[in-house]
Amino acid sequence: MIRTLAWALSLVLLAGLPSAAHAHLVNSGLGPFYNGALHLLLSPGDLLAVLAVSLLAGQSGKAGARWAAIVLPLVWGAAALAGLGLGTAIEAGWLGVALLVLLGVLVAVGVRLPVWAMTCLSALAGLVHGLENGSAFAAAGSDGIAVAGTVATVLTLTLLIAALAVSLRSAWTRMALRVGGSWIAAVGMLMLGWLLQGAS
Amino acid sequence: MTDRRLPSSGPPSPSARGNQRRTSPHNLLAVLVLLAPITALAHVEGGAAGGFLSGMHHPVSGLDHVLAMVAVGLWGAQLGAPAIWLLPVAFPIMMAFGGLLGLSGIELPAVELGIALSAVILGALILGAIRLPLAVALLIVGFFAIFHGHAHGTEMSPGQSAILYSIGFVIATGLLHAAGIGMGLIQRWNAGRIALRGAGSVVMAGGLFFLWNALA
Repeated sequence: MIRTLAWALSLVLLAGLPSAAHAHLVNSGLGPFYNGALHLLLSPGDLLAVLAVSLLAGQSGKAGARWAAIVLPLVWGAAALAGLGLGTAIEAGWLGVALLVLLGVLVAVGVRLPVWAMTCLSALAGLVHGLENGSAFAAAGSDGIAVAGTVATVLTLTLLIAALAVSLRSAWTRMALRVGGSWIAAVGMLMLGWLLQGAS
Repeated sequence: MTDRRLPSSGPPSPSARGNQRRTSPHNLLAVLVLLAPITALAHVEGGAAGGFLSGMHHPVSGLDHVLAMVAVGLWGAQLGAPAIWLLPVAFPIMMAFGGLLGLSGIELPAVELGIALSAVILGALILGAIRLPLAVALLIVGFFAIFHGHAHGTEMSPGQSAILYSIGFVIATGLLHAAGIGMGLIQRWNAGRIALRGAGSVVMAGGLFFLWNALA
């Protein structure tokens, strides 16, 4: 009986061991600010989210693009700081992927969202990805300077991509934008399937 | 140890004699240790890069998939706007939906048959230069896209990055559409229109071949 209990306790302890942290910042060699910037550039999920929000914002017009360029980095940064403060592993994979599908479909359909809707979607994307980023930074032992690097990159990318999308006038470039949206939605949908299978 | 000196025309030079004196078992052992194979750490297509490359490679690795993807672009170009861009917008989304079904464990009947039929029907539509209503064209393309996604979107090797595999897969599929659209632009000329219909016959013939294989 005691031996069985000992085995059971050992198994429980083994199962309770913390697994290896997969959150690690790539060392840019230029300090924490650039480590944070590089983290975003090397995270395809985050990049796709920024791309999707920016394309949709550009498609929705100048006002929507301006609000997205303000709200997305701000909320991203605030959420990342919150995640950094919480210090616990936050996995919002499902929500992030579902959001990616929604954003991609909206771009593919060619919807022009009202400013308030664009602002809400930008905030939601910033919240989900910022929290994940923040918890990854906490696990990697990074600080707020890395968050600043990430936010600066989000801001730069959003401004550039949304401005490009707003400036598109010819039919074929608008068409290319919508095709890009369909690709984002397709990647999101495949990712939903992979999440069901436990891959990442 | 046997002396395996090469025959020479004259007496060995002083430097050669010096080299022979330095050949000892220790040196030989050192050389053998240096030449001993060590664990290979070179993973050319592992991890993230492997996922992306694997995803990019997968759509172009099967001729049945290539034929159908290019045919979507060809047919879109033949139909003109707005089908020329609506078909390539609809296809990836429906293809990914098929992949989602496959990854969720939902089986589709006769997947290979559906893929082969997609090439046959799209090829026939191009060959006949048939202009269907846009909704019907979207329905046909979307329907067959599900089979392609179900069969091909789920075949990632273990250990690779799922998101990069998905990105590579979708990009490669989109580029095949673009190739079809590019080729389809020849329909601006009279001879080009005939050549386009000829390309439809090639797609259809390929589809019939795969249909035969699927039924055999």
